[in-house]
Amino acid sequence: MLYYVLNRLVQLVLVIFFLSIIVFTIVRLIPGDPAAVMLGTEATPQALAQIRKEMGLDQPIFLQYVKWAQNVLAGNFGTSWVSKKPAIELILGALPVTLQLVTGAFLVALVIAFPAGILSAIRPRSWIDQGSTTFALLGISLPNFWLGIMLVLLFALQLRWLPPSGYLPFRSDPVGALRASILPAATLGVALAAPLTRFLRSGMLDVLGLDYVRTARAKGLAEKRVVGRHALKNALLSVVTILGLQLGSLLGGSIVIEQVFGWPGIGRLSLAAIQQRDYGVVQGIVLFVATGFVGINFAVDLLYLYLDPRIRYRPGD
Amino acid sequence: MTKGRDHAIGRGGLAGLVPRSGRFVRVVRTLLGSRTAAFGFVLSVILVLVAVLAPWIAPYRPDEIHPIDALMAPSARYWLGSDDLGRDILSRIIFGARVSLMVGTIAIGIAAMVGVPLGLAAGYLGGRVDGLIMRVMDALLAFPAILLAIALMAVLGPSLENAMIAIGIISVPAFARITRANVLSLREKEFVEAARALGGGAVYQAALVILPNCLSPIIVQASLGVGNAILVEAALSFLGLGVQPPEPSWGSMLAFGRSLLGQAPWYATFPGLSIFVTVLALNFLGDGLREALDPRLRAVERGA
Repeated sequence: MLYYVLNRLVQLVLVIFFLSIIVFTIVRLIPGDPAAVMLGTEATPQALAQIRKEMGLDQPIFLQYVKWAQNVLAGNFGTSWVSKKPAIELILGALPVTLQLVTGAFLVALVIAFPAGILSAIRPRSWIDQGSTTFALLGISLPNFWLGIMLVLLFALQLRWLPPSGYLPFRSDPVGALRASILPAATLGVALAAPLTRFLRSGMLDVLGLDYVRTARAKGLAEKRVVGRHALKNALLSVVTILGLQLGSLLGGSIVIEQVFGWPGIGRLSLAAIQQRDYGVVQGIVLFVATGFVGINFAVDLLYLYLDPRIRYRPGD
Repeated sequence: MTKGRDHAIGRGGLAGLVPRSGRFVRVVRTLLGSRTAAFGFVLSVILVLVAVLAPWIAPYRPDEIHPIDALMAPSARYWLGSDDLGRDILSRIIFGARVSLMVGTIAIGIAAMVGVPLGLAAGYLGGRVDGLIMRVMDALLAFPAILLAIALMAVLGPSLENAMIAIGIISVPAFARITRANVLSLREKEFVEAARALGGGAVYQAALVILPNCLSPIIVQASLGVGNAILVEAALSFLGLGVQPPEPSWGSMLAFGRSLLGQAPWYATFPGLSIFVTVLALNFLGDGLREALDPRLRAVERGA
């Protein structure tokens, strides 16, 4: 089992390494000289050269990468030359906003998917099952920015129940934050509910047919207890897996949703940074997000190990 | 169950119209037998026709402006309403279908042309090559596709062609993975060993023997991939990074419609609806194809 964990750790490091190279290369490829962007078109060649030297842009690419990697490992993700603040500060400032959105979305998804998925598994081929499969397909086909706009049209403009946009931090104004969060979270959550329902359903179906569930039934345990004790633990497994898998698309979705609802989160930050050629912030965000993503997947793998006893005793991967 | 051939009465709906024998035909019949898959298939065909026949079926040209009729609600003259420059929204949606379908199919074409060989190489050669290729694929999948697409568009510059390339790139890992998985499972099968025994080299085995048997999941992935590609293209255009105005694109129409949401709700509603219906049709089709091409079902059909 230890071998399994170490194996995963090594893979994690390799993936992050490759990622950093990809990130570094792509950002360097963005046309537009950051020195020129900083100083404007009137700058003299000497001034440009000076700034480039300061930013380390005159070094060969390989050395630039090494220097950047060293900085990153020390926790310095570079500086934004749009706002002159350290990138890490901007990122940490935007993080709670996105976290609020993502948490809300996840809650919405759970509320929809749990009953749908579990009921579908218990009564396969019933109308609930067919309905939720179709709903799942609908969910992944829906453009989430369109859903957001339609929800705003209905709930904010027509019915005036909820604000059409704007972010409110939960700490300072819980009720207001809740009202402002409902539409964005629902928009993002619906898309998440679809694969989550499918996963829960198939996870439950697998478990319900398993030997130890049949044994429990044979022992005479009531249906509810059979489902409750043994199957639910594996439903948790599905949820945890989905969390790992869908984290990427959740973040991608938040880019667009934050634009629609005007939330100053990581999504909007990255979009602005890319458009402004803010190398430092872009690299910082992508690396931060990717590392977080890979790290969470790793944690998911470990949780998997804990939740599913069958893996624990298998040698190696 | 009736032995041998099905009677036409047994397979209802559209499936009944299709002739009874041959493998391809059997797949089509299974496909059309399911309500959702049939719906997806028919709708996809309609969409392709709309995109191809756009210049002939659109009531107006997409760039035809009627400033006097700006922002008119849906009416007899403008079935889905008009936009801020008085252009007919229905016509722009029809031409937008061209853009979306074109971007979708070319992007997935690129993804398949790059991803399938990579998957073949990874699965067949194994070892270091496999490790290297799959790590790169993992790295590509490690962060959100949209973010990567946005970054690529920033590098390449916003345009239709670059959107195709960017979306193609982000769709590569899926094809590589699926192909590789199939190659791994087929590698040890008898007919591959037979090919090896006959003296076929690696390329022969991989390309001519293994690949044709991997086609089904690749086709399914292509169908689902086009749907996804259209969604990504719409998102890119929505963010201003894809197709540039005045070319009609569902995504950019949606973005503009959003700013006019109070005055002209139809502006944002219909382009978005088009995206939804298109992607839905393609997903239904892809799902239906997955079921129809599933080899396990084939045995059931033969036995009945």
